[in-house]
Amino acid sequence: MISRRNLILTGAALAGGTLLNPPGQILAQTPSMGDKNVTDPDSVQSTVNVGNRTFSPGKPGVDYRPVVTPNLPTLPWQIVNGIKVFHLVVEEMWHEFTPGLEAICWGYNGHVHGPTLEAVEGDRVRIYVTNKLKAPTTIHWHGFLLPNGMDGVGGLTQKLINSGQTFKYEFTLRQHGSLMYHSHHDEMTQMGMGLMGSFIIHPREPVWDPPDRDFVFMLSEWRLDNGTYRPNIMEMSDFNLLTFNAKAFPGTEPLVVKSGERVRIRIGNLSAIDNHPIHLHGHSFTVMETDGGRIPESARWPETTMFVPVGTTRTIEFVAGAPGDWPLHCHMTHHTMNQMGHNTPNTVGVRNAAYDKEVQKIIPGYMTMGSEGMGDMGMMHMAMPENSVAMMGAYGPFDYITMGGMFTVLKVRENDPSLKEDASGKITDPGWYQHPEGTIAGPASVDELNQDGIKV
Amino acid sequence: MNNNRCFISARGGTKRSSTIVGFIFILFLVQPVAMSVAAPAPGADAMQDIQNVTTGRTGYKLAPVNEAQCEETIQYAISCLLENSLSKDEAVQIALLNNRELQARLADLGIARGDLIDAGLLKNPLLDFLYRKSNAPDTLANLEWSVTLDFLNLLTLPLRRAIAASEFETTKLEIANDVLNLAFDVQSAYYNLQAATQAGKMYQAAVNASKAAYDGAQVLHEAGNITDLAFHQEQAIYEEQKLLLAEAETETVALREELNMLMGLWGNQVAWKIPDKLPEMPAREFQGAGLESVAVYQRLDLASIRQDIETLARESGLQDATRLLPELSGQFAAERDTDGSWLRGGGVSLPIPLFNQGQGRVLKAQAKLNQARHRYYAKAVNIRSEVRKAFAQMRKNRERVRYYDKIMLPLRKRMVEESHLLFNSMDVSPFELLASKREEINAQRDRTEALRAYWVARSDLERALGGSFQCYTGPNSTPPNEGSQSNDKIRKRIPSGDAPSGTANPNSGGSATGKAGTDGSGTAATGSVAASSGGAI
Ligand SMILES: [Cu+2]
Repeated sequence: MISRRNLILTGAALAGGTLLNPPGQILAQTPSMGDKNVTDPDSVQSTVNVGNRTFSPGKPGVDYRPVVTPNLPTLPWQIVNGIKVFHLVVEEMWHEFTPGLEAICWGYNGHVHGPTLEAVEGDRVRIYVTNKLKAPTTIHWHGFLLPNGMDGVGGLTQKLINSGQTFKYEFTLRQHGSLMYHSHHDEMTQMGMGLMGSFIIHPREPVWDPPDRDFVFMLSEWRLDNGTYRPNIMEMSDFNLLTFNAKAFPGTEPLVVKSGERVRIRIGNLSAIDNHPIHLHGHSFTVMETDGGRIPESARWPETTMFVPVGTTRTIEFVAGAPGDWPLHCHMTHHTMNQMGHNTPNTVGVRNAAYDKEVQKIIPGYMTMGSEGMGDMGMMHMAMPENSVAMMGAYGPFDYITMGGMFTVLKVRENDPSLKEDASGKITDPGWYQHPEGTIAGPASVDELNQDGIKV
Repeated sequence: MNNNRCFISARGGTKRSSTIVGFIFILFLVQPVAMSVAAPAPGADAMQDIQNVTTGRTGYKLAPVNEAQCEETIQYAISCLLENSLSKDEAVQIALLNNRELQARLADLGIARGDLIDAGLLKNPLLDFLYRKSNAPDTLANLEWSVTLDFLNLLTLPLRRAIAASEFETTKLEIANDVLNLAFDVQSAYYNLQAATQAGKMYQAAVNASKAAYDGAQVLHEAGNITDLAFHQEQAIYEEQKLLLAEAETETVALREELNMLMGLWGNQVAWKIPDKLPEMPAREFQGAGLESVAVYQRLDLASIRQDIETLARESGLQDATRLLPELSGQFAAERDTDGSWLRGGGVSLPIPLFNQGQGRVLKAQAKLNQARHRYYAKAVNIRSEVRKAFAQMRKNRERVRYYDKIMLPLRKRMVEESHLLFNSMDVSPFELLASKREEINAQRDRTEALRAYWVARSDLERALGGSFQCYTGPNSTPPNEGSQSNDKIRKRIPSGDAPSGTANPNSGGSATGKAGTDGSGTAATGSVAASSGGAI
């Protein structure tokens, strides 16, 4: 497989030295791994002349296969004089994390998190940012190699975008990979309220076999107490709502792929303080990239769980294997719970029957929960505070699924004409997997136990 | 006066028999006069007056004094009243029948009546007889007779009798006032006990709630899930609540004994029960306008000072009249000399106002009258303040109770429900949930306290007004005192009209629009209003 550095060099050679001027300048993406020094961005800026561009702005379906952002759209753009022009509008809005749980959050263009921005290496992008919040804001382009004045750090590299103002960011994309954007002013508040999104830059030329399906996730975390309607941005460590693309299971859309397809999943983490080990069932995958660039082939290793620290992205690739419904989730157990209170005494193992009856005389309907664990919490249907969801879960095809938060399902299906696919390659949820006879775990019969000499 | 009596000795005299006849004549002449002045038997219907004013002002009956044959009937009536749940009215009634302090106080009426009768009687004439024997031969024994009569006593008798009658009225008013005060004491004590009994149930409920939390801590502790400290924290709350209950029970015992004392109960009579819930407030409240005038008009302690002024005015008149001649006595005397001849005659004795012309006595009487007038004024000022205070407290406490009903109790109830929801979502521990319940119970207890304060303030207002609401129909409904001569006479002696007491007749107060509360409707107007006139008894 060719390295990115090789690609650039190859591209330059193919273009007869007219590709970029100077040809080596765009090669800035993997400074830590590259054997060339990073060029001064200012000099890059001065040499990138749109009028001299060889490549026209990248077209979806032609220059790249678009990514699918479960639960979120991709931001439309238009081309003006060869420049891709985007418009982000920062605003406050209601956001539903999962049915029955919503809050007033901050987002972009009507979405929390913001829509995914998608472009191609070498594109010149112009991004207007209109601030409809009452608070000032900025946008930082996380991981981008760009002129310092476009970095979006409030106070340090630019003035704040005050309420009602529209700022213009413009730069040339000189790298490819899975990047991110987020507010860089009062981050604790503004990122805690949801101001972040994904920014995917496709390579100008395929650097390796392009995937058949390409997904992107943003990991984030919130404090939203049961019965409240606004994320508590004061929380420092005890977050109770963990999300994929700002959705908690069962609000997360599944990832639908066909068996044998090459699948890419890009995962960025802009949580306040938590790193997330994201685990995929039924597959072995390879971590191909970080937001810093491609990992050399020699440095990759097979994985089932990919650790995504705060402020980074990881891109994994695999070939979809056996058909079925395969969980994709954070492996930290508390990160697959919804809105659980943590201040109640542990009731596991408590003999509460007689005591419950006494309390019911004083408080009708009282019931000690969790004396046998929390497994039945989601199913209890006890009265809950307004705007709150069960600790976890939803009904699955067999039983209650005791998972919440950072949990979704990779649905692998045999190629079937009934699967509906849109232009971006997103396949409509086909429902629960229908298992072939004899492939589901079930109660052991007495004969089976006897035959295998199992005593119970 | 006895000490100062002078004798005018008349020597000689011949008609012994006529002299004796003369004495008897005088005695018979004077005595009927004295009797006629005192007739009819003074103060005979005083007890009836006090009974009337008690019933008129409170609706309760007063036990007659010194009627031993009634004792059995009364005790039977009391035992009947005690049999079932004891109401506030029954408690007051028992106290009025059975409180021995009150009976002793009523006996003061008899003592005062004795004084009144004494004051209506003339001083008895003084008979002197002297026998002397001469040692001279053939002489008869010398005999000397004289009868001395205090003439001034005879002349001032009507004045002094009027003074005594006025003093007697004062005593009656004071006694009647004490009767009313006892009734209101019982009423307040009853409300206090009833509130304590009701609150006691809530203390018990709070114990139950903390017990539940303690039990919960126990099962968690047994399962090894909470620390010893967390367990003991719940136990401490539970024990604390038990101690609070014990304290409340102790207080209830004291309040119960206060009522026992007031009702004069002992032995197996003390096992009575009362309903353990305070009555709710009447829907409509007694209006405040004109109440001060009503109180000034109705209050018996004020009326007794008013009566004092009358007494002292009469006293001052007496001192004025007898200023130069405080004493005057006449004497009839007869003497048989040793030779058997009779000397007959008479004389008068009187002080010569050479040095003491009674200035001191007159000044003293004037000062006492002046003093009483200031006391009257001060009392009227105080009464008006008492009325304003009790009325404002009643209104404020009413608002408090309503605030509990409209805001606090629904809020606490809602907080329990919300705690329960957050308990279900595991945001709130069972201890917090039960603590929230305990807070709700405490709010109900505080509401009971506010309701108690309302009823006690209402009772205080009745006391300040000098009569209960249900016996009051308002001065406008029936002109209370028109045509009551005694009161009119007294009013003339009352200090000037612009004094706080100037509206002793509430009609002259202009804004006396007090109206009977809902529970007062239907009370017969005439009887109670007539009886409510302070000067009428
Ligand atoms: Cu996690």
